[in-house]
Amino acid sequence: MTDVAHPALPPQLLIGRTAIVTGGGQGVGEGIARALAAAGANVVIAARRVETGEPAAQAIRDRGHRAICMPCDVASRADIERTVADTVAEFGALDIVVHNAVSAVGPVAEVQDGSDEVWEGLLHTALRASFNLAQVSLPHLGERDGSTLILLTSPAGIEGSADRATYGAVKAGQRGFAKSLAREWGPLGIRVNCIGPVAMTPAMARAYEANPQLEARINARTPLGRIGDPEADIGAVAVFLASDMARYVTGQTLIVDGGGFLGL
Amino acid sequence: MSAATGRNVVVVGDGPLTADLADGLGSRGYRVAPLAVREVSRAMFTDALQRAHDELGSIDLIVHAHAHPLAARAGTIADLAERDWIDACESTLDAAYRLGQAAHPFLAASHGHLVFLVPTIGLTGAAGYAAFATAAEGIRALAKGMAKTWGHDHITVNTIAYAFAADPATTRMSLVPPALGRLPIAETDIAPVIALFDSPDAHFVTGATLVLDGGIWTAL
Repeated sequence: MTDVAHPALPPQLLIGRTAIVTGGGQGVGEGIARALAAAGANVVIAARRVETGEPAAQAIRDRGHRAICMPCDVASRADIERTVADTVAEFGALDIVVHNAVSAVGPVAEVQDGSDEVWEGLLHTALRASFNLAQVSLPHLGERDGSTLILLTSPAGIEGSADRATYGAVKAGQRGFAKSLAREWGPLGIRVNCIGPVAMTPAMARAYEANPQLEARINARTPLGRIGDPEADIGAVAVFLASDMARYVTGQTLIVDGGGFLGL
Repeated sequence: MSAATGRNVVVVGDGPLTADLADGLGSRGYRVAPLAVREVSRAMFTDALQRAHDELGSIDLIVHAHAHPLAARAGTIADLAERDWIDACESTLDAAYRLGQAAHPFLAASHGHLVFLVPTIGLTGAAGYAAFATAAEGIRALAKGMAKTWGHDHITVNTIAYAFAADPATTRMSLVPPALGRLPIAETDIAPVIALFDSPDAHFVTGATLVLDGGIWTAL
């Protein structure tokens, strides 16, 4: 990611809007936080680890945009309640909630060998946190025109994962949740969508380091020939979904992966 | 007499759906061992499957139709207590995961088949049933993951998505009435398709979802 916002990002699209991005301290979450801020939103980076969240917020402020970091472990409902309340106290409203945070996917393992700790972490951070974020945010989202909830899912949530089946399961679960909430909240004017990204993150960088052939393999299977950039490629789609340009889009999953996964 | 004579099936779950599936499979020649979910743990499923194995001699097919009773109860996200979310969604999904873990050695021994039943609301979304829809989609993806990794053990894993009668919106997914005019009957409409997944004719089908709703949701 660069020191300046990507030129493709429209700077005025989200002026006056306030967003929470969970897991916004690094990777895809940081890219989305940067893009939303570049589009004019007030951004709260909700990060379990302040040591990554605060520098990410500072980098946004260094660009002249608005962002603050709030410590938040999404596995804790109390943390979510405090983060939402503090966001509204700080910026006066809440329009956009992006749930990106997820616990460690654990080592490669067949289902029967899966770790209980990994499974429970995924249930708590991907699914229970989606529920709690939605429920706690609802009174605020319902007060605003054009408000939206965006959940970060994965191609693994559509095609399943051979070696991390539990990750695929919770990412799929988030899609079922988003579709149901889209139906439930449509009459309230609140849109709910998913993004399924493939992007260069610290985790992907570690995977590349561990497996030097991985980058070439990913690039070869991707029609656009490269892995996504968290801000310019994934963040831009989050800006679109959060904006009124997507005002008739709800219940959808946008797979943003350069065409690598071409599902139904 | 059905071609399934001599095949052994464990039907996991409680309530009318499971009972009707068991009746339907029994009428097609299966020897049926019901497995009620007393608690959600790998140990419970392993013990129950071992008892079924001891009784039947082998387990050729496992049908998982369990959901926590709260899953099928309507309630908006705004009104759902966290505790109820945990039961309706997480417990339902966890049961499928634990059953799968426990089932692996039994099915690997028999080169058997695992079939999950979920409501179509995971595919379509359903206002008032978000917790169940979340679990349903999670189960579908779990089944795909199991299918991908257990192919080398000659186990197939598939999912049947059935029309969910409790949600009145199910029949409104299409602007026209269900193509076949009604919702499915477990004993006579779903059980035969489960038997198909267990048959030699379906030996190359794994990781699939078959939508069994009589032609309501045809988006795939």
